[in-house]
Amino acid sequence: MKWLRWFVVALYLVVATAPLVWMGLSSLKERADTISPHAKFLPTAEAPSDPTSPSFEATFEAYRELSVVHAGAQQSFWGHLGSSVLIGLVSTLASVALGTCCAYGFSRFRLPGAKDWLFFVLSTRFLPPLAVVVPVLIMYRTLDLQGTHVGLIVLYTVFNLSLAVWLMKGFLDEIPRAFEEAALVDGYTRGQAFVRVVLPEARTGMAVTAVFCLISSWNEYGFAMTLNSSGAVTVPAYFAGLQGNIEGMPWPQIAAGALVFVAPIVLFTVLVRENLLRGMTFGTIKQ
Amino acid sequence: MSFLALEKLAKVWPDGTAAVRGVDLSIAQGEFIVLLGPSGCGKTTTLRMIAGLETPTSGRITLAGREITRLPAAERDIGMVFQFYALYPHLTVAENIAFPLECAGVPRDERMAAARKLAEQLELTALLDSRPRALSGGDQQRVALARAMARKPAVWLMDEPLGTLDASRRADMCDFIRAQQLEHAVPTVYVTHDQEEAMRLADRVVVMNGGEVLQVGAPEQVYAEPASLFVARFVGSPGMNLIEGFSRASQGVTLLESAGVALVKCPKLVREGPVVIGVRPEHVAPDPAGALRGRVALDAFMGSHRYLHVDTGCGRVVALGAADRPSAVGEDIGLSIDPSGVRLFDSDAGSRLA
Amino acid sequence: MSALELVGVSKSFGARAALAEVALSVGEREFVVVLGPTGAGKTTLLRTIAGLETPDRGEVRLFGADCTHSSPAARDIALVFQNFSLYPGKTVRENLAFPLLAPGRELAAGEIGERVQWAAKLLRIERLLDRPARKLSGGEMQRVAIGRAIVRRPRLFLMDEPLTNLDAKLREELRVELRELARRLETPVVWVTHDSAEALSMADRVVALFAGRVVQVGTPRELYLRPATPAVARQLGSPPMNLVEVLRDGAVWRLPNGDAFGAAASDAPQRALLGFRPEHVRLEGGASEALVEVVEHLGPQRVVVLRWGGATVHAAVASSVDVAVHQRLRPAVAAEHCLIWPR
Repeated sequence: MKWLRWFVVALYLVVATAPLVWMGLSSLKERADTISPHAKFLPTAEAPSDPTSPSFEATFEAYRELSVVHAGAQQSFWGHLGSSVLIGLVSTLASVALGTCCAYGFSRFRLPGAKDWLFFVLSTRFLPPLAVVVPVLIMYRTLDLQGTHVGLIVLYTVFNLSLAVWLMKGFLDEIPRAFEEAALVDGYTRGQAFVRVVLPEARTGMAVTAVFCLISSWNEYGFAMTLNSSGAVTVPAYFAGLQGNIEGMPWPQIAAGALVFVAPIVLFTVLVRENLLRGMTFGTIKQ
Repeated sequence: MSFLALEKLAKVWPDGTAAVRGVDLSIAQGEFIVLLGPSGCGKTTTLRMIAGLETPTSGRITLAGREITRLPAAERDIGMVFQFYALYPHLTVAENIAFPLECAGVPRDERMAAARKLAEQLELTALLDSRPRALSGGDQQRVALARAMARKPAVWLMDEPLGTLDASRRADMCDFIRAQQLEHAVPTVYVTHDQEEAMRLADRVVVMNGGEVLQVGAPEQVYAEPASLFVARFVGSPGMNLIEGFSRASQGVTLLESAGVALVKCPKLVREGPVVIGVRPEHVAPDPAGALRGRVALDAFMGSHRYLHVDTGCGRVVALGAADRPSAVGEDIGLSIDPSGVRLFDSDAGSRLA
Repeated sequence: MSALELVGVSKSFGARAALAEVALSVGEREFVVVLGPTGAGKTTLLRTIAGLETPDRGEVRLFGADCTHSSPAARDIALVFQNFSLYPGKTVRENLAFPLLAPGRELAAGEIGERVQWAAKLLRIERLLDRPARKLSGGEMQRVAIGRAIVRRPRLFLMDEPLTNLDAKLREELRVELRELARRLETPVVWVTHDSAEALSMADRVVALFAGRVVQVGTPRELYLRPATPAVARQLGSPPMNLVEVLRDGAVWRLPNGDAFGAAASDAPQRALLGFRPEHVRLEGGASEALVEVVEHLGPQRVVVLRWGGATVHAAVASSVDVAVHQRLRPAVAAEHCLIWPR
């Protein structure tokens, strides 16, 4: 039984990490090695004498070249990564902040038509986002938001907001009302009770929501591509833009860039991991 | 002849804490056993091992002569009643109660007749065609209990089924459970922290603490003759008065003293030395001439009687008083102890001396 | 002056009336228990006093001042919830200090520390001070919750079934402890419960609340001996009062199956519900026979469940009395112990 369990886990590990490993290997290659008809998967210090050998000479050249501004682009990879980080973080913060406040209202007050409002919030996600790409494009052109960071931040925030409201409402409903009511009776105002009692308890939910929002805006491609030609091109759009490059696709740099691009998300998830795990044990306090 | 037997049953959690430490118990056909103890004493874990919801770390469980220690729960023919029991919202009360019989292949007419009979006993007849949603929480729990008891398995296991009910309803439900159990003679293991429920229901009470069985006996026996200090304190509401004292032989009797006061002369002879003197409140009476004097800290009226909580030189002592004789808080009163009610315990080991 | 006065307080949620014309007054050092079954409106009553709900009609007065519409913070009242409302991420010390940090309470740090120590000592939770709230047991949590209430030294305590979720043994101990604490603090308490033992043993006065209405107010003894309605009678006492349907046949009450129960006054109603306490049932000298169905040993007393004339009757006798299941005896209840509700 035990070896079978290990076997299954090992198999899964190989399947799951193989693409990443391959990407890592590619980022260490010269361009010629990435498009060689012979599979190259053994990095060595020296170039092999035989061109059909599976080994290749490892180099960090691709990482250095990330700062090269390619023909047709206005910035190097790092510039675009900066755009991604700025847009991703700000829109995530905005979604979580607005979503939490909004969800708190739905969770705690008897609002007329609350159910209809919630349904309306959710309904903004019924259409696939790309279906509205043309109207958005026209709107943005009129408002002069095309190709700006603010434009994408607003767009991602709006798209993620419905998710944030629904997720946060679920989490806030789990927090006993008595928590704030005790604070109210103790002499705190509603706002102070929200900040001092509810928010600390909602941390878990906010972390979970933030991970979802960040991932969706970080990886968003369609709008980033259509609304942008210059100023605020995010990394996914930048990579796509490299297609048709005069010098051919710079595969080692794409591999290196993709690895660097994945790192912040992994880092962020690891940072909030404690909170995510607590999410699973949420509600074990006796009610 | 034991019907359900636990032998050296133990459960150690993966983190190393021992929840149950070698429980031996033998339950006869038709017997009502109550596992009584505070939260975390291992009573629920023991029950869940009998049900097959937890696997014992060691030990054996046999049911009707067949070892079931590692048998899956579904194959044990056991009926379990939980503290929180969800009803099926899409079925009526009658259908809910009859549901377990449907699984057992009982024809529809018989099922419904059985459900009606149970509902009648629980005064739920008016609700038979309602949906669970329309019922109050207490009624839902009663329906749940009726459903759990609709089938007559080899053993009933009950995990604090009355915990969520109002106190005034609880007494009625105790009567119902006891009546059902007597009628069908299904051996039952019932878990509770409420000693009153235990006293009400049990043929035999099993007092547990720290994963161990401390005493097994009929309710009146456990109440009157506690084997240890823990049982003396835990059983009874309020528990036994326990006074640190000293025993001295004097003219063929034992003289019990505490804090320099000669409390009571006891015909039983025990060794001289420090002892814990245990006496139930009903054996302590307000008595102006009593040797033990103290100040009333609280006069708790209970309806048919009252408990006087008195701070004396040898600690807090609770005495049983008449319902129509209130005492003022702060009043100085005397107490006398009935020697027949005195139980003595070893002050170090907590075990019973006499 | 009363600490608290409610005048004609009504509150509905949609079509459901939670409180109807509730009047109540609590003296300055009084311990008042509001007793009622689940759903009687007890919690709504407390929340209205605390200012968490606004009544539709009526007035809430605290120490003479009309507070009906003032905010919870302005009332200087402490409320202990049934569901523990400790902040699980904070330590016990932080939980206790939290009410003292509220705006407008400007206490020096030293003063806060002192008050926390004082409350912890009173409730014997000093050794728990630095433990996170989520690591406490149920009993410890509720002690801390009560500590949070007393640390502010409020003008009035409101307690919403604070012992309901605890083990029976702990409940019994805290009942005694909290009653003494209330006396020492000299602060009025409104304590809400469905538990008869709490109402009888703790209250200076009991307020019986059923379906949002105050049905009876009086000392525990008054309510126990002279309950105003059968519902109050059932709610108090363990085992509760026996309620038996009887018909008058001349000078005799007859039980449902026609057996004689006892003497009836000539001016008594034709049909009635008779109420009598289990401890007033004697097991001999009666006019008809009853069968012993169950004998329960409840410590100092023995509860005998009798099938008597088609009704089930509980009798409480001393544990020295010998009774066995299936025994036949002739129970009797003295007329002066019977309450009569005409039907």
